[in-house]
Amino acid sequence: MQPRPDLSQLLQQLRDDPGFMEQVQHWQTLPARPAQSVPFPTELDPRISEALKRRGIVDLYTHQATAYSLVSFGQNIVTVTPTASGKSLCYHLPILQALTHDAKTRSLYIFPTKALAQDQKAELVELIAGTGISIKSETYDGDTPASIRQHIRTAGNIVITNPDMLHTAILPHHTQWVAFFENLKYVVIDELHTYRGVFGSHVANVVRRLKRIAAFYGGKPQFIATSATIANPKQLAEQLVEEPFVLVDNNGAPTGRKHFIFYNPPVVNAPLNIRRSATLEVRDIAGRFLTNRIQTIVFARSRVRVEILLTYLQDSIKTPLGARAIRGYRGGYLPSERREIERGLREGEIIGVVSTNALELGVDIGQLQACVITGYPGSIASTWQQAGRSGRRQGESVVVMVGGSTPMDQYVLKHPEYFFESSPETARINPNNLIILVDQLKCAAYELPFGEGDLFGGQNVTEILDFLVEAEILHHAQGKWYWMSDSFPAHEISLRSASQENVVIIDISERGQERVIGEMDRFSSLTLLHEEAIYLHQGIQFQVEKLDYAEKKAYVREVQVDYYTDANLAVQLKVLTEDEIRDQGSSSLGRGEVSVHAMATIFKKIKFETQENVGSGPIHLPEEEFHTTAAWISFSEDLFQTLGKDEVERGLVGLAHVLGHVAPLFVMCDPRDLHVVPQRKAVHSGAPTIFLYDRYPGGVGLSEQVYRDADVMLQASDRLIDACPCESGCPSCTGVGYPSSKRLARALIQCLVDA
Amino acid sequence: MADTSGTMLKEQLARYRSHILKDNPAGAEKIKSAEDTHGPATPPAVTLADGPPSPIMTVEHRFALSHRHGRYGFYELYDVLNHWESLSIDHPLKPKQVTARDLVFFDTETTGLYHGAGNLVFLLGYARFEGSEVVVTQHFLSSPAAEAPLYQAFFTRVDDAKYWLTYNGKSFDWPQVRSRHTLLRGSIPALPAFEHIDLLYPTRRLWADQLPSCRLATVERQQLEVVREGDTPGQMAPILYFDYLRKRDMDVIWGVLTHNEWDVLSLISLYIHLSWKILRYRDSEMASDRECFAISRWYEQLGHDGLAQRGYEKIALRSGPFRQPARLAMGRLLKRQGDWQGCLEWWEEGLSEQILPSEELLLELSKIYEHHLQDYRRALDYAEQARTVWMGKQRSLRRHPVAADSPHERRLERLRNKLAGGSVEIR
Repeated sequence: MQPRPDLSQLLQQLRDDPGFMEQVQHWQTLPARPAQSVPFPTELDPRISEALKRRGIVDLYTHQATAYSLVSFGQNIVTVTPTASGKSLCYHLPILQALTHDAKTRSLYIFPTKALAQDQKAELVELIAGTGISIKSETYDGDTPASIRQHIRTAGNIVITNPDMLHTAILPHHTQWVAFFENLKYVVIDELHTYRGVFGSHVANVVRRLKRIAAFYGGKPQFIATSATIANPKQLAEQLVEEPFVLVDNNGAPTGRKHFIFYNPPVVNAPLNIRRSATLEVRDIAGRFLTNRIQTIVFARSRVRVEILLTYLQDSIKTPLGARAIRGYRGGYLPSERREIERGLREGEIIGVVSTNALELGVDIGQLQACVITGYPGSIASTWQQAGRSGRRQGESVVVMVGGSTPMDQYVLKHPEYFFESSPETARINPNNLIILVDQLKCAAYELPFGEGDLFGGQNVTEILDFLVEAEILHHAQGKWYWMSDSFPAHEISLRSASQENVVIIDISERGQERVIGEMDRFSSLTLLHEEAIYLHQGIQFQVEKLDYAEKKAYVREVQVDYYTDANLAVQLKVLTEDEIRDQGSSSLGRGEVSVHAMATIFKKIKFETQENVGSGPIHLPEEEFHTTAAWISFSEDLFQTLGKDEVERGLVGLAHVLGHVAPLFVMCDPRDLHVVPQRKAVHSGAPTIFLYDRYPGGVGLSEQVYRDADVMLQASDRLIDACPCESGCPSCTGVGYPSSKRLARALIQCLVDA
Repeated sequence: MADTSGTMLKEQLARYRSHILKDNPAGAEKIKSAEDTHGPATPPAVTLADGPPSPIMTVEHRFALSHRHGRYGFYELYDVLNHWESLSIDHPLKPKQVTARDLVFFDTETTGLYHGAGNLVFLLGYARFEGSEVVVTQHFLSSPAAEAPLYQAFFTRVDDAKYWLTYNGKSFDWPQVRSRHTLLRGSIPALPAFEHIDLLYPTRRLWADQLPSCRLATVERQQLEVVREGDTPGQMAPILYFDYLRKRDMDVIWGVLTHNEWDVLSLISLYIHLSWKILRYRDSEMASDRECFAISRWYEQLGHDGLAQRGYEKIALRSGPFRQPARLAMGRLLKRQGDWQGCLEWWEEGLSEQILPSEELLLELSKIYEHHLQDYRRALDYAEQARTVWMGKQRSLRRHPVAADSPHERRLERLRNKLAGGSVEIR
């Protein structure tokens, strides 16, 4: 028997495999980088430097040293460095040093998830123990036993928590945290880049509340943030905290050699330019790594894809550890399941993980050698984060990104320079989204009454306070607004999900053994948990027997079928306000508020292996209505005469298909957050129109940027359609099934661009 | 939003109303239902406290000592205090070196049941003994802007009290008051220092397994013979208070004040009631066997073995459902003291009366014989009986037990070895 090849040998095998290399669109080797270090600062307490030396750290990377000195000068800082560059020392070091001078000092560490907080606590406790200094650091989250909570509140030097806990448990109960807030000197915001969109907009308001309460107790904490690579870390930090920040980006950490392979699946249907399914390609590529016992992480874009890949891989890879050696990991799993998987990865009992982007975060899962990405993750930053899961520290590693047929994937695969050379995405938040702001003002008013002229986030909020008085939530007396309701607002406001109420998924396979196996937001449940939908959990198929939409419960039963389900969502749009309009040739661009009515209509059953349609059925669920912001492109009604009615419609559908994929590249958001809807006759104007609307009620600023940069997006769409080798439309450009849609879509673009 | 003018913001707020106020759909309905239930509250006879007009309202209501609230007259408190005084031991319900004047019977009404900084205390009510009268004082927050003077008035008037008596005040009312105190930082006097007697805990000890709930209203009805007529339910208080703030109409809120007054008066009766039970626990007229047993266990936990023993003994020698538990408890107490023979007497006698002996008791007996009296024969006998009971239990669960699987096998084997004079393994 031949010995198993190691990673370098395996990579050489791939290079020698013409079948594989034919599909490789781009192979980039990122060179190893040596460390850049400087000695410990002279004033650093010797107990700390000795403890670091015992852990093998004899000097500091340049970025750590810069962070240390800026923090000691009282600056707010944000550090930007790749995964595994020792970023946590950037805050541990100045804070521990401060504690050697003043033992009363309190610090708050905020991590986006509980799992990350646990991980960091373990590391910090070890470091503190090494110094021998008496410093109490504890996590304060849903798992903290009631018996030690009181002690943490009154005596914890470093309290490690997450934004949700800060929002629901710490801030509303600040009167139990007096000693903490009176001495709060540092607030650490780790994984800053995760605070974007709805979540980030909420967290910015939680920070406003935190600062408001700190000020009440006479404090003004200093902020230390760390971020993965994004285009605007300093801007994001300043938007989130509303104070000036200094950027630290002189990364001095070493990295190992990394191979980055762009892989495009073979074309199986030339006229339609249909490529082999990325999922199948990923199965084969991941299979090559896994059979050679190379620890591999596979990323898929959706929950459904994760489950499909998991099923494939568990079936095809036989390991001595059995199917349990390859595991799924995604948002819908219960925390206990996730913890077990994280441990299995670290300890090596698990050799493969199939994950959604939940693992983008810096949870320490040890050193994986290979990473296989199914489809472009939607953003440059996200791709680097996922790619960072392999070869975190040193040594050779490989990332294979397998493209899908979508226009976005094809654009990126064929333009590697877009990925390797352009700057990564901008993280965008809109803390003043009206719905978020009002929700957060309720929480703030609960915590401390508002006085006349009090600002929130630098602005006057009197109008909103009066609105809440009128709604009988606040009471106005002698120049102050008081919370006057018997509810607890933070419990009703979730920082993370657009719809407040999640649908709970209950497994009823065994009578008397019914159990909750996960949850899902209501909007997603329309298309994923309708009756007869196939729901996948840990690779096990469940069929939804009943969706009790009013009670928000989905009852599922285990089944074994060879298909998955895919549902259609019909959307109606009405323009409520036109905030901006600009004419462009015979067409116009607009921006404003819209009402969206979404209704799930039918679902199809699609066979795994062949992707063919093997049945369908209607979905009977109520319409969901919400208000949001949108940008739209209106074409002249004259086109009905010059092009023909059907032709206009085909062109709209085709262009909408392209824009749905191209716009997120430029707006730099998750494609799911920006919906694109073509309408032959828009209700407000009667003209043919394409709407691009923000998925979150009230919007988080995406449509504003679509409006601003529409020209660039349309030009890019035009180039993409032009460059696509198909004849008259394929899944990689304008979609299938509409004859001459390429030509028609380009004709529409011309109406705008030629102006 | 930042660049929108006031009117536009207003329009926007109106448009997004359904998103923003999804959780408060029925504000108007709530008020209506409030009006339906609170009924025509009749204001009690009150005298407003003297002094300059202030934003807080203080209501006083005086009762003669002879006034009966349920089964007790208030004057009985003096008796109770004398009895506590003459009891030489410590007890959580025993105030030390006090007169009736040193006690404050305290209860609050708040705008919500959640702990948290937004929960407002709008009524501070308490009863105190003053000479020949019991005076109920209520400080009512007529506007949320008046919190500082409210606490000023309150703390000044209760500053001299030594003991506060509450019902669930340790985890609810007092933390709320402390939270408000923190929020009013600096503008009001320091928190008063006092001893706190929370009557919820003794109530649970005595009656938790007997009452449908330990809510004060239930305890009143079942134990104190207090009958409330036209009472405003406590959970209505927040809504009525919000209604009051909008209408500025005291008629809306009188029901809540009356409710609170009943609560603090009931605290007096409850304290008298609990005290008599504890002080006269062996008097069958005063305390049932169940109560006597619960009080004896409490004494035992407090370290007053003698009082506990006398209580157990009384019940153990009577017939009734607590005869057996009392014998077991008695044996356990003696065993703890190392009185093996005394313990065996109670337990073996108890055993002879049981139709189905308990596995645990048999095991306990086996241990005493093995480890303390070195009588392996008897120890083995009891261990075998324990196994028989275990087998019976398994069968009744429709399992098919094998003797060798019983949890007592190791003990049995060890005892057989010891009897056979084999190697003696010390546990």
